[in-house]
Amino acid sequence: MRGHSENYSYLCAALRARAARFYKWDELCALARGDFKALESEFLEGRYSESYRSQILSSLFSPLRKIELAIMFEITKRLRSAHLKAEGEPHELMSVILSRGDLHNFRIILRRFASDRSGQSEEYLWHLYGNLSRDFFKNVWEADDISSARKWIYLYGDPYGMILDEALVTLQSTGNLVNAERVLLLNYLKYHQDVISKYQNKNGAIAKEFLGRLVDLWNLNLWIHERAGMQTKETRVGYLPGGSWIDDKVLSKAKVITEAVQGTPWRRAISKGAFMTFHEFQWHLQKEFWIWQVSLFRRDPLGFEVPFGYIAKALAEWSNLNMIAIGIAFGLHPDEIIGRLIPVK
Amino acid sequence: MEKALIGLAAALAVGIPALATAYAQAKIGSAGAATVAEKPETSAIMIILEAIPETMVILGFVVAIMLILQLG
Amino acid sequence: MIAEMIHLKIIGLQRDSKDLIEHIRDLGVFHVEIEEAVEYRQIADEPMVEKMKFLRAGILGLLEDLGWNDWSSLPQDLVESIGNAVHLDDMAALDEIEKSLVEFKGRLSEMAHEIRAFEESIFALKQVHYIANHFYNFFTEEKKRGKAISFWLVETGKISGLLKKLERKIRSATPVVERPYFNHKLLSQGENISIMALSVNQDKISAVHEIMDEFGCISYTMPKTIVGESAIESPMAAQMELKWLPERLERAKKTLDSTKEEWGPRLAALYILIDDRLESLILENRLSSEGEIFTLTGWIPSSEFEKVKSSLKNRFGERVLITWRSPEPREWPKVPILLDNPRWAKPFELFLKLMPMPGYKSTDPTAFIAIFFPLFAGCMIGDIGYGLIFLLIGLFSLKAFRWKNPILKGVSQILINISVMSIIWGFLYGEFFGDLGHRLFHMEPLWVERTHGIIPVMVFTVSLGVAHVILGLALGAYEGVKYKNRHHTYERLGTLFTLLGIVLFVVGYFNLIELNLVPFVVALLVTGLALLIKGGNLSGFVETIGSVGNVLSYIRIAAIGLSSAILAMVATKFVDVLGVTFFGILLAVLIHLLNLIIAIAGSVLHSARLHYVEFFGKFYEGKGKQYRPIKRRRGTAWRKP
Repeated sequence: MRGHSENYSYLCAALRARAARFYKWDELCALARGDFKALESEFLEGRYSESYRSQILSSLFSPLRKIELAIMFEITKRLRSAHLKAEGEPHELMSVILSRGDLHNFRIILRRFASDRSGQSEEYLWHLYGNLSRDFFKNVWEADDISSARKWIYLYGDPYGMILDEALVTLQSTGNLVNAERVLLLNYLKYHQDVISKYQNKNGAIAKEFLGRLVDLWNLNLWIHERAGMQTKETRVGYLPGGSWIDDKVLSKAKVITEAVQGTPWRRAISKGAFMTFHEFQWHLQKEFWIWQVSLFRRDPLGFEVPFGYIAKALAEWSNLNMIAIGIAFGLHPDEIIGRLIPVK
Repeated sequence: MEKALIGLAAALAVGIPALATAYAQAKIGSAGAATVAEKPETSAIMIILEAIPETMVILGFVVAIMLILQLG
Repeated sequence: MIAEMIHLKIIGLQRDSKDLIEHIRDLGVFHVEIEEAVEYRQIADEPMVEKMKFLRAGILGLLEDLGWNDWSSLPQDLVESIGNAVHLDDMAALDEIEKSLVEFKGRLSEMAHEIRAFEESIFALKQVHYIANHFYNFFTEEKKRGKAISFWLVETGKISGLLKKLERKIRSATPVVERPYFNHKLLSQGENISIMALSVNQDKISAVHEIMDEFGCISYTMPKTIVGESAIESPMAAQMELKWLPERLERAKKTLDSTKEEWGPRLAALYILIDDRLESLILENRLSSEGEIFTLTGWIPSSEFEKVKSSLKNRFGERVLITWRSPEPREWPKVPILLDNPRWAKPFELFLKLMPMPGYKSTDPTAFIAIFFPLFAGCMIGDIGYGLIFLLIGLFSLKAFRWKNPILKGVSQILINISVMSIIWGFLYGEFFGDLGHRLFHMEPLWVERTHGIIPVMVFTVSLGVAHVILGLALGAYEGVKYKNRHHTYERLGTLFTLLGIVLFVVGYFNLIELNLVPFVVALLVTGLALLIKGGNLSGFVETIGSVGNVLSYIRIAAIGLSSAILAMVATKFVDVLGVTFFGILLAVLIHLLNLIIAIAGSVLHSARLHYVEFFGKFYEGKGKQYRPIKRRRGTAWRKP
């Protein structure tokens, strides 16, 4: 008699209690206004102290790197332990959402092989709350070329890693990063469709909408890419099907972006005044995506909204604290740092 | 026959609220357990919340006793 | 009772400040007043404090890296000897400590790295050995024939198509006079990847590459062993390595273990020393000082005042000036709370530990809990036999935990109180293991037998509820008056009068007393409603309706008691049905055992609930701060960081 829904009340209560450990908006702003010493002291005694203290005596890393590592360890730990608390339906749906970490890492690897910037001295801070381990990403990242990267993927033998394989093949044969990312996203979506289709309920719909919005976001970015003339006729690739709000056919014909986003949640990102740069536009879209994810946390106290929102809050905190640490270290003005934080109000 | 019906009514009067209480307490209990595990300072509030649905079955019990008294 | 507090201000000479702080920590009763941190650590730490905090956290991190957690067996003399050896009072010494800790950390991560590397190579080597073994015969035989052998990683799903294509290609590329040669061997790796060994004539190798590329297969080179030979050519070498690698791993692990044993306690001692020094240092920095003079303010219980005063005077004489006063009402929210109850009520302070502390000068309900809690629980259990068993358990555990565990000691005392009340109620109900007393000793109830007369018990418990709730309301009204909260006072009083009116109405309705109650009922209801209206909002009315529900909730005492009594009777009935046989008695004992557990769990939970929900709800507000005097931690009972 252990139904899936039974675990929701336990899981959601635990995660809601844990969410009190995230920094509030005001606290983040206060941190951004402080100096690096204040940030270090907060890490020494505050909520990240456990992950931070194992770094501080290390002679290998710079102070900024130590803080970045502490954030990575702490958030990864929180997400993993949240995932372990779930069983049945919420566990499987969380796996889908958490695999965004793998997707993130895959993209980083694709970009590395597209631009051939392998000269980075420090290891990239992988998002390791998904399916694959650090060894996988590290070995693939350090491979000399795409073929030896693929060899690692094959030797690793995880079917999840094969999502990356085809994208690498595409990149190798076409040299087109956008196209490779398209293949990556397509395979990623295909991989999760089976799981999601098992849950034809409100909770499954959230996971589905998440994937759909990922597609929306990619399509919108592609649109603006094309309009900005960054795509030539030869390198042009098709829009992805399966968006949750934006019809790819409407988008491909749209002359102005408002035609495509009318009546969808994305219009809020567009309504922020006339554009601006390509990056600014991208940032507004991203922000809109985050705001939606975080907002779900308070929607239904006994549904998948809570774990979903928790994951979003954790990742938003990662990004925000990183932004603050880097911003302070490079002497950005506090207002500028705050302007680049994901709103978690 | 009438006695039997009254007896049945008394049983239902306490049985149905007991099921309802159990359902509510199961939900509150698992959420409460999780909350207390994360924030021990909420223990007393959780006991209070867990206890709230019990009123149903207590009232059911009173009704059942009143019905049984009719049996004489 | 909430202990009276005294606000103490100590003014002294700057040069005494260090000694004074150590002295105060030895006294262990001084609760220092701390300004609430306003913004994010706006008060910059002193460099010394900052450094020490850094070291303290770093050492803790090191201990965690080492996996050392043996705080309870840390010898006190080690802490002392290290304390004598290291100086924590100047920056240069701290820098020196930091330097050696960083070095240590470096060595430690090297060790960990080495172990990890060994583990990884053992794993990898095993895999290579397995693969090499699998292909060894194929490889050597094909090599003897002078063929070109290549290894490939292939998606398992593509294999059959690939093989067909390969054969066709090789056949078409081979002249008709020659015999086409093609051989292969497979090994699956995980779910959908396989390693494929292909052997063809030397001149066909380019054709193979062509096809393999077309199918997206990846060329696989056999890894080399440490000696530098390909694993496939000499599987023996891999086997040799597999022999001595685990030995080296063991050795590395042992080194780490001995490092842990050697350095764990020392680092922990250093941690404790720094932690201790830091506490004083932070306090020193918080002193407000002007020129040569410093001021320290805080709270102490008034009962400790004379002791503190004379001890300070003895130690510092005329060099310190002490001023003191009682807190003013506006300061009440800031006063730390120390519960100070007589011995009979002390164990029941446990109930407040689960809640935020009560405010200063408000009511400490511990004494009421000490009276009502055992009364309710005893009324539910109501059995002499059960009471005696609980009494024995309580006495036994009190003896066991008296010096060891204050919380379990308190729990044992509460259990003894409950058991005594159960025995008293047992006499009133005439129950000894259910109706066993009646059967064996012709015991008769002093008041009523629960299973036959449930109504009197129900009426009694409701009356108990009325009394308890009214007590709570009265306390609430008293709090309102004391804190000058008029709205609160009117609301509680209004509820109280209305509730009394309703009770009298019920009493009159059932003609329970020979008196015309109508004027009283009317007077009480009118006063109550007037007060509720004066209280000023709707919540008062809701509260009143809620109070009626609260009173009815006390029926649970009768209900749970009844079920416990019936279950006890059922147990004895087994002996009736099965006779005085082994089986009959066994069943009876088992049911009694079950009932015993249900009785204690149910009664404790439900009386706790009646207190937390029905009683506390009427007056209790957790708005106090806990009294936390600065103390020196002594002995080896270190607070685990």
